[in-house]
Amino acid sequence: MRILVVEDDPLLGRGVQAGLEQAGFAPDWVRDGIAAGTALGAGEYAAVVLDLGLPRLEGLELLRKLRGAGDRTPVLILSARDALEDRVKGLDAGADDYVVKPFQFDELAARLRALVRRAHGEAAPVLSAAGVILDPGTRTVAWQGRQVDLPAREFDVLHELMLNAGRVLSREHLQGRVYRWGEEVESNAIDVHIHHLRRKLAPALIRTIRGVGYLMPREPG
Amino acid sequence: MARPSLRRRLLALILGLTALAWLAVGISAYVEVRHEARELFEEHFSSAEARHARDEIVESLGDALLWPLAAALPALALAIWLGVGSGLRPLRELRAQLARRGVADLSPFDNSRTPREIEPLVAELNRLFGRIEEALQRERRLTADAAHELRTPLAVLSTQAQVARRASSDAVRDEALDALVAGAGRAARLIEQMLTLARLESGQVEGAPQRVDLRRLARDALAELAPRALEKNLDVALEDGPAAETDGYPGLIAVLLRNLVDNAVRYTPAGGRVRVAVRAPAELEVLDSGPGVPAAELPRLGERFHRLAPQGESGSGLGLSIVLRIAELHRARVRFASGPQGGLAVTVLFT
Repeated sequence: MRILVVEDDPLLGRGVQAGLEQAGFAPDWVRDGIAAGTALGAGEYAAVVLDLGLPRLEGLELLRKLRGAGDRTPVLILSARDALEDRVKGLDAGADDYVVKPFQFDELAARLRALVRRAHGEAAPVLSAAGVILDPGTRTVAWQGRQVDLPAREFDVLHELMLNAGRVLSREHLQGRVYRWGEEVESNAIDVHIHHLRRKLAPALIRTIRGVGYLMPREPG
Repeated sequence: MARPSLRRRLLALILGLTALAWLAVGISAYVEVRHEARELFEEHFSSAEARHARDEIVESLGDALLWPLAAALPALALAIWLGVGSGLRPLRELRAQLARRGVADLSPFDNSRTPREIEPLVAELNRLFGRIEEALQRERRLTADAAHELRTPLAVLSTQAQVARRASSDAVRDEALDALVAGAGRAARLIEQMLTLARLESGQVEGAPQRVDLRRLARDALAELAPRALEKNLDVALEDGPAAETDGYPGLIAVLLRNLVDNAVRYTPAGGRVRVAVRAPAELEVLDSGPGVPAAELPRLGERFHRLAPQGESGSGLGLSIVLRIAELHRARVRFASGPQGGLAVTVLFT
């Protein structure tokens, strides 16, 4: 899951990125508000972790601009400012959650998962579609009650398909949601992941819509 | 000894003066009348009977003058007692209001109905409350800022420690541990700077002012920071020039110089240059070839925890506040300007 980390402090930004990576996310890190706005323009992030005291463009201003432009990407403010006033201001500016530094990674990761889940209109933390059960928290997948081990990227592709079950996702969309900047990506990487997923789960589980993309059907019935 | 009472003092003063005036009037009238009466009687009536009548007239005059005084004085005393008491009522009310106040209540007193004599006192009190309120607010802001500033290095420590604990490879763990050490160093520096500033703010200055050789202090500061500058491949130098001396605290001026040179080294990219100049009679200048400071930001330099755009290095945000405070203690002027080749030029003018 692609996460954008916006943090001006180099030691902290690098740390948050490393920690989120360990928690199974695919985080990119930018250091100011303008760069964050540019990065978000592509619409590939499942959520944003936003610091408030940013150079060039303040975190809250960036947030207002995003919301003003209709961007609905879930935003979690991660700030050292803990005053009630700051938290209220942050949430009212359009943030979906507010975590005060210093923080625990387990909590940050759980909150991000919850934000992404809610953004897709899901209530249950565990996704299930067409006999597949996917748990983002433990990053495990079961197919008809049997545990299936999936490499990180295959898990991410399946996660994205299940979050959007019933909708066709283009190859570009999937690629943008799964791979970080600067990662070497083969042009057919997504096709290969889909191929592996079909082999490990069920051949008919993921449908191909020729010339459009892939689709995971909703719960049968 | 009992504290003097305004009421008693007024009472004694007014009653004393009244009695004195009355007696003076009485005595002079008595003497005058007796004298006139004697002359009158000696000319026209000389019998013993007439002399007796004359003495009675004079005597009753004395009584008429003295008795009202005896009766009026207690009445007057009562009136003064009550009058002064009611005149002092606003003061009593002020006292009661003050006594009721909590520590945090610094709102001004209502001064619209206080008598003219007390109004300046209350106005002065209100102004004092205002000043205290301002100082408290400054203090509160500083505490909030400090808490915020301390939380960031703490977050770095906590974050990197968590990353290190979960690291799946030695490389990731080592990187996290290096960042942890760097973060701890930063936290220590921040705390040290905060303490320095707090001491300066409360005016805790050690030793007495003495003759200070600015050139020697500049040389020491450069020598101390040269290793870091060389690591960044910076060209640092103390420019030739005359000797310069001023009266001041050598320890503090050394801190001032160290902060200025440290900033220059910190914010100048590798390969750049840092120059320190000492000029007569007593002027210091630190010049760098870094990115400089936009003109609009120059006036905000020295505000606590105010930082410019990130540049790879993160200072405490207090260095220039410390510089300004030390300069203030020396009645020196600090000027921030853009250097001739971009970069920042800081000049400290001692008087």
